[in-house]
Amino acid sequence: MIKRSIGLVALVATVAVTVPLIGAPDATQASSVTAGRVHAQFQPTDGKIFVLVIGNDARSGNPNSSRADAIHIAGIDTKSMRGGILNFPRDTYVSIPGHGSGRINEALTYGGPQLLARTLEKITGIRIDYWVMVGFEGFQGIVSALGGVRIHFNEPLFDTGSGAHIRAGTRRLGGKSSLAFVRARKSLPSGDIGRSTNQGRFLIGLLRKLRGEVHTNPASVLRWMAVTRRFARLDIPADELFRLGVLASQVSARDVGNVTIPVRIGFAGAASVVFIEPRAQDIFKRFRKTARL
Amino acid sequence: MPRPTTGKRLLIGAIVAVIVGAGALAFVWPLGEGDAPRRISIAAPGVRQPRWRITTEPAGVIHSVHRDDRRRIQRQARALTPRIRRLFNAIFLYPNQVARVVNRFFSEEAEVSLKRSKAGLPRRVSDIKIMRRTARIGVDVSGATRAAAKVRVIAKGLLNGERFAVRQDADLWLARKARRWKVIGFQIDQAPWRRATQPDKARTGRQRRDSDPSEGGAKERSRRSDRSGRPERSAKGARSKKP
Repeated sequence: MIKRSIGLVALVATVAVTVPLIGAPDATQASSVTAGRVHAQFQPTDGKIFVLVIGNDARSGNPNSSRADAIHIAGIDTKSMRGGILNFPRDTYVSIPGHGSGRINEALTYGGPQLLARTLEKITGIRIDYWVMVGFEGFQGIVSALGGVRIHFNEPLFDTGSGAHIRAGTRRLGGKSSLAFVRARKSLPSGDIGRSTNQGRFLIGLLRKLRGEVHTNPASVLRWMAVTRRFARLDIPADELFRLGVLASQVSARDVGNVTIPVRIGFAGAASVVFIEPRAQDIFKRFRKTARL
Repeated sequence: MPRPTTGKRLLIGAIVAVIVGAGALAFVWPLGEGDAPRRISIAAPGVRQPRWRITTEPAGVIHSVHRDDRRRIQRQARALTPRIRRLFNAIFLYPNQVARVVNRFFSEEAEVSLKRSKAGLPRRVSDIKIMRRTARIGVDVSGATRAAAKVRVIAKGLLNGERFAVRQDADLWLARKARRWKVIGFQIDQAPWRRATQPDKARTGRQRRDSDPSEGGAKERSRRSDRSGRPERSAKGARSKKP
């Protein structure tokens, strides 16, 4: 009886110690995919849904890095089934709530995806519903598991910084080459601005792939969900994720605009930054009203 | 013949009253399931419609499927199958049932999609004969609370005295809450349907090219060159959709 009690206590103690360790984030999880709601309640504005997509440079050699290299707002109008992707260069100089002014990617360092979302809401006037943040390993893992994404290249892309080595034509990019593509900037004439635009093109390529698979088999949405959940920690209920996937699969890539906000290069002190041009306000207004670009 | 007694008269009167009353009741209060309106069929009379060909499979699989998951999926597939049959039978054979089925089976958002898609047949069709009806249902392997279905129905009939045939491919996405399945997403691709002609395997390619045009071929060519502008024989709302 005493031996049994000791055994039971030992078992409970083992479980109590082990289970939190199993759930603890490790080096690779820091670079996986996370997602959540920006506001406590999901309330689409007149049938429009906006998702903040963040690419950070966390990786297994540098798991705690939290600089946002990719910042996009994807919008969808559920009534017309059209949408748009609005891209923000990472060096955009903005006012960060509670932290003065700085580069927009610093908002992620100061306050995580929530602060970045609120910063963008303040700039654009758009109510953002969800955020999704992707690190290097999570990005590569998801793209590989989905079988790659097809992108058309009018010109070859060779970038020493990212390691991209892609010939002209329509290419199927696997996990590694997709990451190289979305990171490439040194070989681009417009540098980081061009990189932002390419990242938007990649998102549209992903959408085109989803829609193509769903056209053959609508249950493909469930496979995409399973792959995402394998690499992700989601604070979004599975039902909402399913609904978002179903909506996304009904949008044609031709009906999604890809726009990078107009900016001009300047300096803030000694730091090289870009400032938002005044004509960006018209883009924000149109996007806010219609979720289309 | 002796006249019936009073008691017998009363009995005959009561029987007649019951018969007349039952007839009036059936006329005023339609028979059916509970309060359901009577089904009005637009099917071709005396024609047997083909059986549904329905397959079910686990969906969202990235690892192996356990036996318990398979059982759960089969159970939910058995719950889903009659609902999907009822929906498309209503769309093609019992149009007066569509509103009721949709109200019970669709979410508000999906109902808007259904109405916007103009799925189904025009009002004045008759003599509907279904050529083929198939469904492929995938049930989510994790929890069996989400599913997706691809349904194809090919039907022909009469519209204002003219024959037509239509193919409809519908995609449905379903979610289960509190043991009830609801359609949360719906999209449709509907277009006129023509049976594909079989190639003549006995003849060589050259013979096929050089042969005199058949009567069917001549009719096809005259139809193609018809510039009268008459509308194509199709169901209302028929259009094709590309991904």
